[in-house]
Amino acid sequence: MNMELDSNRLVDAYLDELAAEAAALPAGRRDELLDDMKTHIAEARAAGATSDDEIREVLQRLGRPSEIVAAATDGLVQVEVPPRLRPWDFVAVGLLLVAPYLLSFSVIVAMVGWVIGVGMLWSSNRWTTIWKLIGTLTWPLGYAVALALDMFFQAPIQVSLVADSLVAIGLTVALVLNARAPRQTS
Amino acid sequence: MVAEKVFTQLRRGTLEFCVLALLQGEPRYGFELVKALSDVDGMVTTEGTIYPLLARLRREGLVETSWQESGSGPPRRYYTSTPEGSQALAAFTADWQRFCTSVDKILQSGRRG
Repeated sequence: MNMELDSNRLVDAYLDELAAEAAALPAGRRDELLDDMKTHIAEARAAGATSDDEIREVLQRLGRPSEIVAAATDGLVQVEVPPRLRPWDFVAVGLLLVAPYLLSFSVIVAMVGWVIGVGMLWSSNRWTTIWKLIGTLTWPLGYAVALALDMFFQAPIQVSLVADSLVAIGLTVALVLNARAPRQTS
Repeated sequence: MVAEKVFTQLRRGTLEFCVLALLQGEPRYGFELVKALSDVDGMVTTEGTIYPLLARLRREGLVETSWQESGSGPPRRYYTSTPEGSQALAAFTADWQRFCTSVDKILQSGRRG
C-alpha cells in the first residue's frame, strides 16, 4: 500500500475527529483551530515528517483532539439554553385545556384537574402574571363566549360549542407561544 | 507522581507568559513557536493546545499576527508581542520571581528543620 495514502488517512482521521470535537465551538474559533492544525501538520511534513510513523508521532505530539478543543473552550462560558417548556408545563397547559371537556364525564374529575392545572400554571416560572391570568381565565372566557352567542344571537348549541373550543384552543396556543424560560443569572 | 497535578496547573498558568517571552523582539510562526517550546523539557505536553492559546492571546490583544508566504509549505501566520503583551510579561516576570523566591525559601527552611 502506498505510504503517502496511508499517512493521509491518518491525518484525515485526526482532522475529522478534531472537527467533530470542535463542533460546539463558535464557527470562527473552530475554523481557525482547524486551519492552525492543518498548517501545523503541513509544516511538519515540509520539515521532513513523511513516513507513517513520523506522521503518527506528529499527531501524537499535537495531543488528543478532545484536549485541544478543551483548551479552545477555556474561557468560553458554556451556556445551557433551558427549554421554554418543561414536561410539567405541558401537563399544566394540557390540564387547563382538557379539564372543561371532562365535565360530561365527571364534574369532580374536571374540577380537580382544572385546579391542579391552575396550580401548576401559577407555580411555573415560564409565564408572566398576565399570561398566568389568561391561562386561568381560558375556561371562563370560552364559556362566556358560548353563553353570549347563545343568549344574544340564539346560536345553535353546536356553534356555541365550536366557538368555546376555538377560544380555548386559541388562548392555549398563545399561552404556549408566550412561555419564556427565565434568564439565567449565574 | 503526587505533584503531577500541581505541575499541570503551573504549566497551564505559565505557558502563556513563556509564549509571550518567545515573541519578544522577533515574530515567529506557529510551528516554529511550538518547536521552541517543545524543545524545553517539561513545558509542553500537548503541542496542539498552543494554538488555542495563541488565538486567545490575540483576542486579548497581547499578540498580533500577520501572514507571510513561505518557500517550503503553506502561508505562515506570524505572531509577535504587542506593547500590552510585553507589559503583561514584565509584570508576570516580577511576580514570578518573587513567588519562586518565596517558595524556595520555605522549601529550604523545611528541609533544614
